[in-house]
Parts: sequence; structure tokens; C-alpha cells
Amino acid sequence: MNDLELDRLFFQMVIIFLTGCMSAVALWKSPRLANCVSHGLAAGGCALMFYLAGTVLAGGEAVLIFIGRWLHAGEVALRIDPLAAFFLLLLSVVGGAASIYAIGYTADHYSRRYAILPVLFNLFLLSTVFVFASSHAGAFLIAWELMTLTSLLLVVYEHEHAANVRAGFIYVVMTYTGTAFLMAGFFIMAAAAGDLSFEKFIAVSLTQPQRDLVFLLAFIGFGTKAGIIPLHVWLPKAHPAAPSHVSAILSGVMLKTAIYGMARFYLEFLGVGPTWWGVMVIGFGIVSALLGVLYALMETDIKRLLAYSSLENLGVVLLGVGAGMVFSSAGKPLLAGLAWAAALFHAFNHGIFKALLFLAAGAVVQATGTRDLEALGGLIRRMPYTAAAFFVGALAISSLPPLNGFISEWLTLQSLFFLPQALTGVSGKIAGALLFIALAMTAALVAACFVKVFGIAFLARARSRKAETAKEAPFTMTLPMLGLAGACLYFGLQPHSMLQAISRVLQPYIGIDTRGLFEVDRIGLMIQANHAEGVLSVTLLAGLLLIGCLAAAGLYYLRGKAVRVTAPIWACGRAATPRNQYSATGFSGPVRWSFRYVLRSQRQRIVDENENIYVGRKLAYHQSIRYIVDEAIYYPVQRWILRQARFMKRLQAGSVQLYVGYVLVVTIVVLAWSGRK
Amino acid sequence: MFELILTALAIPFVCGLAVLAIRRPAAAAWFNLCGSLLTSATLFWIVRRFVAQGPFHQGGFMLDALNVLFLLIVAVLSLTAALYSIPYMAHELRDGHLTEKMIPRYFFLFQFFVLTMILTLVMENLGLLWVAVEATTLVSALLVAFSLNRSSLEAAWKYVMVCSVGIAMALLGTILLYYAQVQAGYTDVQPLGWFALSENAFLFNPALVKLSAMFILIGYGTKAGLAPMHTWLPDAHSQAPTPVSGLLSGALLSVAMYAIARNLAVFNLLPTVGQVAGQLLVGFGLLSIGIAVPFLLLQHDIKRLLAYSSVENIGLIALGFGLGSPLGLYGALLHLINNAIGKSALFYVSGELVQQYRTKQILRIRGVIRVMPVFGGMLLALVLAVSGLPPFGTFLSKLTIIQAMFHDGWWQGLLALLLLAAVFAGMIYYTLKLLFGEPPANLKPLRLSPAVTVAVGLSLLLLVSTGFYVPVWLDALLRAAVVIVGGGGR
Amino acid sequence: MALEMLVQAVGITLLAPLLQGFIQWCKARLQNRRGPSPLQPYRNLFKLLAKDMVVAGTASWISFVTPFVCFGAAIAVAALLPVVSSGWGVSDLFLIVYLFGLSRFLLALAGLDSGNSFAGMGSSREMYLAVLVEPAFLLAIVATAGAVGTTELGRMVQHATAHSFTLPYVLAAGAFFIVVIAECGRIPVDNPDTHLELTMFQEATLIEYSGRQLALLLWSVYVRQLAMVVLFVELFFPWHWFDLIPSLFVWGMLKIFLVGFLLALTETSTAKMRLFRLPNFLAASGLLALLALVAR
Repeated sequence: MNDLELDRLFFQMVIIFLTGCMSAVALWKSPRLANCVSHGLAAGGCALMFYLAGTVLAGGEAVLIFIGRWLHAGEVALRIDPLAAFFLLLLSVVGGAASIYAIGYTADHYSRRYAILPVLFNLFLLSTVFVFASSHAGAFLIAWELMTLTSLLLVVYEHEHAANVRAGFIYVVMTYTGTAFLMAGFFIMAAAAGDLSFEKFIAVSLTQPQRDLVFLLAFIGFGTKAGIIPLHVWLPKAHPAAPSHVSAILSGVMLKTAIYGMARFYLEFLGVGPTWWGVMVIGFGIVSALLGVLYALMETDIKRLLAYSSLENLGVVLLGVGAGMVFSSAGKPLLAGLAWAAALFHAFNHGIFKALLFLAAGAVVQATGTRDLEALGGLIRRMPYTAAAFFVGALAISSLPPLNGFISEWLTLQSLFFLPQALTGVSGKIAGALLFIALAMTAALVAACFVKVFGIAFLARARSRKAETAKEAPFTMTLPMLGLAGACLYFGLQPHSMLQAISRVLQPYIGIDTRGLFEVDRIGLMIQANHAEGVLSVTLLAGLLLIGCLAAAGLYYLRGKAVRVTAPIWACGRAATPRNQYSATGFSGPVRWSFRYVLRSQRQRIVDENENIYVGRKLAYHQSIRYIVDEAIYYPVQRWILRQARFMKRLQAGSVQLYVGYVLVVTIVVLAWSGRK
Repeated sequence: MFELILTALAIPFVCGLAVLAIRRPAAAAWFNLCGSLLTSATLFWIVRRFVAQGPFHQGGFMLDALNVLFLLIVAVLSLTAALYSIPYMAHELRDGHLTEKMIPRYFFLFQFFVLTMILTLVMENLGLLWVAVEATTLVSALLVAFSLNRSSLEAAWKYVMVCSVGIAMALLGTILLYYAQVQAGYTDVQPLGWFALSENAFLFNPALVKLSAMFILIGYGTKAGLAPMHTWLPDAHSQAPTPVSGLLSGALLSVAMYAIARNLAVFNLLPTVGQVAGQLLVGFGLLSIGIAVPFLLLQHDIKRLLAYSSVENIGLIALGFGLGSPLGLYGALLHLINNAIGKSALFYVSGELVQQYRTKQILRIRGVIRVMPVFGGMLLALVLAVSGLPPFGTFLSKLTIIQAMFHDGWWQGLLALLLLAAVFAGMIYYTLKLLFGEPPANLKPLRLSPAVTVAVGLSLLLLVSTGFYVPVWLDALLRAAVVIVGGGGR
Repeated sequence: MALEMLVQAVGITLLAPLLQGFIQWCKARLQNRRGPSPLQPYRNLFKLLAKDMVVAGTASWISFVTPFVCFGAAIAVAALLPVVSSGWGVSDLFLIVYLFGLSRFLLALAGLDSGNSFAGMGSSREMYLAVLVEPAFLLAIVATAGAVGTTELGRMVQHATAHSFTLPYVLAAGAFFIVVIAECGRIPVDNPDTHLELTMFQEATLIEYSGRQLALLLWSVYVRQLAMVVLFVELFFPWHWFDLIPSLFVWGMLKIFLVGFLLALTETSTAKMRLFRLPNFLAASGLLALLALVAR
């Protein structure tokens, strides 16, 4: 397929998304029709995108689409190179699943304003496409801001809840500020490169302090989008606020735009940097990972829990990114390739399983009307497909074999394992060891977290009336979930093709070499990098697991037919009620206690002494944690700003004399200033 | 061409006088709209002719790329303001804020306000330019005080006082410029004529021109609402009748910026002066953006909120002018156009809100999106537009100015960006407050008059279209204007 | 290769209950009891495999699947260990850790599945223990594998053979022994002999299991225990005095049962720790591993 055809394909995709918008507007009087047509078109657009991205990724050739000249800023072009195609592929998978899911999910939202939802959804997808495809800073920023705006509107779509509006406000202000840093980074490069096209930015010649500055600006800018702690405060508020199919894209894809941007900046524009760049990225990555998962584990709101867990996963991705940068600067291109591949693959995998989890959580929330884990339970019988899909997602996110999360986690572990090769000396060793401790702890906490979510929400008995009467979601919702679950399994068992595509993505960049990095032979996946080797045989593993399970089945039936008798559970002689079950708060208790200095957990117990002290004493128990970053940074800064603002406002109190005085003072100052030698 | 300019000046003059004779308010409003339509049509015609024929100069009037751009702004804004005046005045009458007698006076002032602005723009002589700017102050002060209640009188009083001091500075600067011209030996040409100045200014005594520049920038800066001379602006803009607020914020500030730009074109002929003037403008610009922050973060009055947003945007434009590079100038000129359109429309929207909710208090205006969904959408879009977000033209122009800032180093640009982020935080915070939440129970929203929708919709349409595409002729105009302001002479 | 692997898996699986029985027997002897025969676990398993099962009415397919997957994971681990020669060149240590993680994940879910609050508590504690053990486990690995440059087990064992009883390995051995204790759920971390006591971890998650499913789960726990011991032996006691006993197999057996005895000894000589004292215990392991790293 040549360029021209891919060109046309791209425009067809754009037109399909736009048609999706228009049709929703045109059909606004009949929400049902608008829903099907508009979301169906979105799914169609995603299918085209999938084909387009797949072709580019397989061929390794970039597609260049010239748009026009823009003011003084050079040629505006869209360029879908393998890096962009890789992320477009993720968008197409997640977006497609979310579009189909939306048909069933949003059917609950029919109202006068319904048409806005599919319109925004299509626009959101489209602007994200342009974020990945733009090859010009201006166009990129337009797409970036449009993505923010459309997602903001989706976040505040359910504006009846004041919390959603508040979340939208924090979200948009944080990202606007983040974008300010991005713009600064772009413009510093533009000042050196001449104009704003990405082509001119490639390996742009900057002085070292300028490069450091651009690195930091891009890190803050994209870090805000990625929700790196301490720039994360918007994320756990905004992601749960959006409708669930949008949450899936927010967490699954939009966070990855930050990883995409970092790859663009650090691989393509800035090239190999000093070691401290990578070390810094790793540092923020590990803090995000650990704190993110701790907060996730403490959370009882299912969607907010998933949002916090996104922090953790982005932290893990950053570990790969940072390790890649460290290896690059240490002159170890193969290991750099390994680390970057780990980062990209984990970004991809996280996109898929997090979207899956959000979709499933959305189905749960819709069926039960609550996001509180403590009110759920027993859904595995009421919603079997949703439960199965969530189960696969939980396994994958806990990076357990044989699912996709494990492969990328394994690659990340491997690249960190080799880190002492780049960071020599005892400090390097210790740092590497501490990283390992933190990452291992993170992995275990994630597992604990998702045992909690799945165990509390889906297993045992319902803890509330609503959960008791929940109904399985329609097939338009379960189908995409199961599809994504299938993708988790596929990339867990067949990671080779994707890893080889990733190595094609990374090959062109300076300081990275992926040739022969991932070898596939009859045993399985091998990584080979000068002094580093690793081997992972997924097929063998799957085979062994299967054989083991079959052996277990053999033993099970070894001594005849199995008889199962059902009986109630034992609860110390009393009839067990759902209230006897372990709660989500209780489940996370030991971890909360161990990390109490980080989590600042507080509990409040109210005992009603008036009642009879022997039976039926009333007990109220309240457990909360305090967010250390908010308290240490955001609240003081906010207070400081408001205090300063209040002070400044006094400067303009309404007295005309004072105002005229200002003019005169300014005149004097200006004259004195202009008269200086 | 000369006739056209005369026509453009005559129509508002005649209409302004004629409207006094009309007793019925509605008729007066429609008559006013017709007058404005005619004026705008003439102005557009002038612009078209200019694009085809090029610069023009005759009998004290002149047209070049720079003032044609501003004529465009006046043409669009006077039209939308006239359009919006119809429902606005009707509503005010119904609410009893005004009496029928006052209406003709309003339209009289309206037309004369437009007249003085056009006059300012077409003046060839910098001295007469000053006179015309002073005339705009006179007429607009009467408009600010139009409702003749305590607060509007106080606002007008502040406006006149502060601006008089400022404009005195501008006069002093203009006289100094004249003195520089005389001292350089150019006594035979027209004193302070633009053409004479642009031909010879590079031979003037730099020290004198620099002094004049300082006074002129402070003087017209006061009129343009640059901090810290902006103190009159929030009061005046919030107390004027809302269509006029839109005109004040969109058109009059632009006209004041025009005066600065025209004089800057002279200063830029002398590189040393141009540099100092530029630095001063950059300083004023940063200060304006900065000073808007606290007032936008803690604000109770919706119209004052918008007024401070004007201060911020004018600051951004001053930054662009101050940078002096083609990129900065281009961005500043484009931002002038975009901001004028966006800000005036936003004022119309706020005016409608104030009338519907009968309060200017942001805290009492709630749930706009539920009461008036389309209108709420427009409000949000316009706030995003004046905050410089895509897909609106303001984003492009803001981006261009900021990009230009980074050519001279990074910290100023980053500072401006962060200040803009703080400004945005304030704007969006209050916008979300307005849009969402529970609307007051006793609120019975009236149907929106189509005039408002048309005026605001037209502005939005223009903004979105400039967001993606700057027409070739406009681009050419902007480039030519950049050359003029940058010190390239005619 | 595949056949050898399977043979090894079967061998380890069959041997695993013996180690458990041996440890129990040693413990009894150390406590001046006669104790059951070391073969008792085989009898137990055989008996359980014939029994009917009583299943909680609230349990779902998760409870049903868990024993099979846990057993499968145990088999996979058993197959991947580098026992015969130096492995197959395909066994990765991280993989083994995560396979343990898989069975722990499912077991914890199964604990929550029935709605029994004891089992829920067990799940919670089991996952909490994992938070402490996994870092120590991985760190002990890094301490030994770091010098090798790979986490492939066979290569690690080769390296360990070449550098046995150097300071890093001795220190790491201490670290790893603590991990073995924790992973096998032995005193002072967990008490494998009790049911229905508020100190329990893994045993609690099994509380609703009975009959064949319990047999499978117990067996997989035994296999896991043996796997940990084998790992420990392979990495830290790779020496063979062939003059004494020429057979590699017998040497291996001797070492494994020696470690079993050590475990029994620790169990007898220490008391069960409080849950919240465990971080300190495992921190000791981490510290040893760090020292091993620095000493390298």
C-alpha cells in the first residue's frame, strides 16, 4: 500500500469521526438513533485507524501528509511514523472497544442534552488522533488543547454532581499549566530551529543548559498529563468523574499521550542526554508507582481506585523511560532499547487492561448505582461476563503470567536489573537494589489491591440491596470487555510480534539499538544485549501451566467421581450475614498500618455509651487517610496565592487620588529608568 | 476613497443626530442598527477598496494597512454592539432601569462614540490623532455615566480623572515629538504628519524622541488600560451599558493600542528609542497580565471579571508590540482583532446573564447551562476563546506572541505563560461556577432574543474561522502593518 | 528436554510431601514428641483425594478453579527449577516469583470468595505478607544474580558453583533463608500447624476447602515449599564432596533434608511473631541482601 492510499485512508477516518459528530447533532431529537449511528461511526473510524496504524507499524515507513503553511511557523504536516502508529494502534483498540461499549452504556443517559455526549466523544477521539499524528508544534498544541477541552467537557458532563465540576476545574487548570511548560519547551527549540515543524526539531542544536531546560519543561508538561506524583492531583478526581467509556480512554490512552510526548522529546528532539535526566525520571517514576498504588489500595471508590492505579502504572512506564535514558547516556544502546521497549510495551498493555477494568467498573456502577466497594459483592453470579472480564484485567494489571502485564513488567524488571551496568559504583548498586525493593513492593501491592477489588466487589455475598438485584450488562457492553480481555491474553501469549514492532519503532533513534534484541526461537522470547541476557518462554510456560492443571484434574478424578455438597459457611455458630464478610477497608488494614507514616491514616470510633453495654452497643467507625502531597504542596501554595491576591487587591481600593498617584509614580519611575546610562 | 471616508464619518454623525428625534425606543434601536449597518458596510467597502488599491492619503485622512486593520475591528464591533443594543435596551426599559426619554440619548452617544473612533483611526496627523482620542474619552465617559446612578457616575468620574492625567502625558509626549521634529529642522513639512514623520524621524534627536516616547506610551497606555494605569478600567467597563462595555473593551482599547502602534512606528525608526519603548511596553505588558491575576482569582462581579480579562489581553498585546520582532507584531495585531471580537461578545453574553438573573454577583448566577443550554455553551466557548484556547483564533495569536517572546530568552516567556495560566484558572473557575450548579428557584428565564444569538454567534463564527485559517488578504494586511509598526515606514 | 522437564516436575511433586512430613517429624522429635511418620502427608493426601467436598453456598467458580491453577503453577515451578544438570536455559527467577504470585493471588481470591470472615482475614494478611516478602525475595535474587548478569536460573547456579561460599553468597544465603521461611509459611512468620487461630495466614484462606480440592491445594503448598528449599540449596549450597558420596542425587537429597531440619529447628526454637513485627524480620533479610550487594 503506498503513501497516497494511506493518505486517503487517514482523511476518510477523519471524515468518519466528523460525520459521527454531525450525525449526533442532526439526530439530537432521537437519542437512541444518535447513539447507535454516532458511536457506530466512531467504532468504524477506530477500525480504519487500526488498519492504518497496523500498516505503518508493519511497514516501518512513515506517512507524511502535508496540510499547509501556518503564519510564520513553517510547514504544517501530519506525519504518522512508527512511533505515532504505535500509539494510534493503542487508541484504535481502546477507542473501538469504548465506542461499542458506549452504545450500551450511554443508553442510560438519554435526555435532552444526550447528543452532546457522542459529539464530544467523537471529537475527543479525533483530537487524540491529531495529537499523535501532528508533526508541527502548533498543530500538536491545538490538538493537545482540544483533547484537553473535549475531555474536560466529558468530565463535567454529569455536572449535577458538584464534585465533577470541581474535578473538571482542577483538571483543566493543571493541564493548562502543564501545557504552558510544554509551549515553553517547544518555543525554546523553535528559537533555535527556526520554525515549529517537528522535522526541524530533530536533534536540534541547543546549548547544554538549554537542553536541560527543555528536558525539564517537557518533563513537567508531560508529567502533568501523565499524572506523575506530585503533579497528579487532578487525575484521581477527573478520571472517575467522566462517564466510564470515557474514563477508559482517559486512563488507557490519554495518559499515554504524555509517554508519546516524552518519547518524541527525549528520543527524537533532544537525543542522548546526561545521566541525571534518566535518574530523575526513574526517581519520579518509582515515587509515583509506590504512592499511586498505596492510595489505590486505600481507596474504596472503585473508579477512583482504578485512577490511582493508573498513577502506579505510569510510574512503572517511567521507570522504563528513565532506565532507557540512563542506558543511552552510558553508551549502552541495546539496553536502552530494552528499557524503552519495556516502557512502550507497558504503556500499551496498561492501555488495554486499564480500559478493560474501567469498562467493567462502569458496567458494575451502572448495574448497582454505586461506586462504593463496601456496598458491592456477589456480582460474579449476577454479572458473570463482566466478572470474567474484570478477572482477566485484574490478573493482567497484577502482572501475573500468562497475561500481557507480566511480559512488560518482566521487561521492566530486566532493564532495572541491568541498571548497575550503567550506574557504576556502590551507589549505583544500592540505588538499583532500592529500586528493586520499591518495584517489587509495588507489584505486591497491586496484587493486593486487585484481590481487594475483585474479591470485595464480585465475590461472596452482596453487601447492599442494589448489588443484590444487579443485572448483567447488555452484550454491546460485555462484548468489548471480553474483546479487551482476549487482547490481554493474546499479548501475554504472543508478545513477539508486538515487541518486534516496538523494536522497529525504536530503531531509528540515536543512542538506541534494537537489532537482535528480541530473538524468538523455539524456546520463546530471548533478549540479548552484550553483557546481558534474559529469556522468557511464554509458550513453554503456558504449556506447563496447562499440563499442571490437567494433572490436577487427573488427581481430582483419581479416586472416582467428585461429590460436592453445598453448605453454609461457618461463622462461629451464628448465621453468617453479608456484614460478617471482610470489608475493603478491613482488607487494606495491615498495609495501612505499615505505611501509616506515608498515608497519615486516621480513624474515628464513635461509641454510643447510652445503650445497654452488653448487647447492641452502637459503634460508628470512620477511616480516612490524608494525602501527603496535597497537604505538603498544594494547600500551602493555594493558600499563599490567595493570601497574596487578597493583599494585591488592596492596591486598588477605589480612591481616585491613589489612581492618579499611580500614573504619576509610573511616570517618574519610567523617566528615571529611561534616563539611566 | 476620500468620499468613502467622509461617508463613513457622516453616517454616524447624521444618524446620531437623527435618532434624537425618534421617540419610540424600539424604533430608535432599529434605526441605530440601520445606521451602524450602513457605517459598517462603508467601512468594509473601504477595506475592500484598500485591499485592491493600496494606501491612500488625502486631506488629513489616510489609510494604510495599520489603520485599516483597526477599521475592521470597529466595523465588526459597532455592528454587533448595535445589534445587541436592541434587546438590551428593551430589557432595561422593561425592568425600569431606564426611562423612555433616555433611550434616544443613548443611541445618539453610541453613534458619536463610533464616529470618534473612526475619526481617530483615519487621522493622518499625530496631533489630531491625540485630539480624536480625547474625543473618544469625552463621548465614552458620557456613556459610562449613562444610567446616572451613583456607581456609574463614580465610574465615569474615575474614568475621566485618570484618563485626563494620562492623556495629558500623551499630549506632552506629542508636543515633545513635535519639538524633536522642529529641532531636526523640518519646519516646512506638516508638523506631526505621519508621512513627514515616517520619512524623517530617523534623523531626530534620539534623546528627545525617547522622552516623548515615554510620555506617549504612558499616556496612551492609560487609555489602553495598561497596568498600573488601568485602575479606571474595571469600573468604567462594568458600569457602562453592556453593549457599550463590549465596545469599550473591544474597540476603544484597540483604538488606544492603535495610537500606541502608530507612535511606536515612529519610535521604531530610531533603533535606540524603539528598543527602550519596546522594553517599556514589555514591562507594562507583563505587569498588566500579572496585575489581572489577583483580581481574576478573587472576583465577585461578572463584568469586572471580564474587564480584568481585558487588562490581561491588552497586556499580552503590549508584549507583542514591545518585542518589536515581526513575529511579535504579527501576533499582537492578530490578537487585537481576535480579542476585540471575543471580548465584546463575552460582554454581550454577560449582559444577558445580568439581565436574566438580575444581579452582577457571580455567586448568585448559577446553573446557566440548565436554564439556557445554548447560551451556556456560548459563554463557555467565549471564555475559552478569550483565554486563548483552540479552536479559536486567540490561541494562534497568543501562541505567536509567546513564540516571539522566546526569541529573546526564555524566562520572560515562561513567566508570561505561567501568569496566563493563573489568569485562566480565575476565568474558568468562575465560568464553571456560572455554568453549573442549581439555578435559583424563582428564576424564570426569558426567551433569548435572536439579536443576541446572532451577535454572539457571528463573533464565535469569526473566531473559530480565524482559529484555523487566516485569509490571504488579512494575512497580507497584517504583514504590511507589521512592516509599518516595525519601523519600515509606509 | 521436554520429557526430562516433565520427569523432574513429577519427581519434585512426588517428593514434596515427604519434605513436609520430614519437617513435621523433626519438629516432633525436637519437641520430645514421637510425632507422625514422615509419610503421613502422603496418607493425608491420598485420603483427602477420595473424600467428598463440602462447598460454601456462596462460593463461585473462582473457588473451584483455584486449586487447579495453584497446582498447575506449582508443577510449572517444579519443571523450571534447575535440578538436573544446570537447567534448560529457560527458567527465569522473576518468572518463578510471579508464578508464586499467581497462586497467591488466586488463593487470596478464593479466601474472599466464600464470604467467611476468617478466610477474608487470611487473604488480607496473605497479601500483606506478599508486600513484605516479594521485595526481600527479589532483592536476595538481585544480590546473587547481579554478579552473573542474568536472572536465568541455570546460569546463576553455575556461577554459584564457581563462587560458592564467598562473602556475598553467605550473606545472601542468610537473606534468602528468611525469605524461605516466609514463603513456606513457617514460624516465626506463620504457623502451619494451626487452624482457626487469629494468627493465621495461608491456612486461613484454605478454611472453606475440603476433600479433593484441599488435597490439591495442600499439595501445591508442599511443592512450593520444596521448590523454595531446592532453590536455596542450588544457589547457596552447591558443593559436593564426591569423595564421600559419589552420587549427585543423594547429595541433593541430603542437602534438601538438611535444610528441612534447619526449618524445623527454627520453628522449634522461635515463637510466632506478631503480624506487625514482620516488617522488621523481613527488613533483616533486605539488609543482609544489601550487604551482599555491597560486598560483591
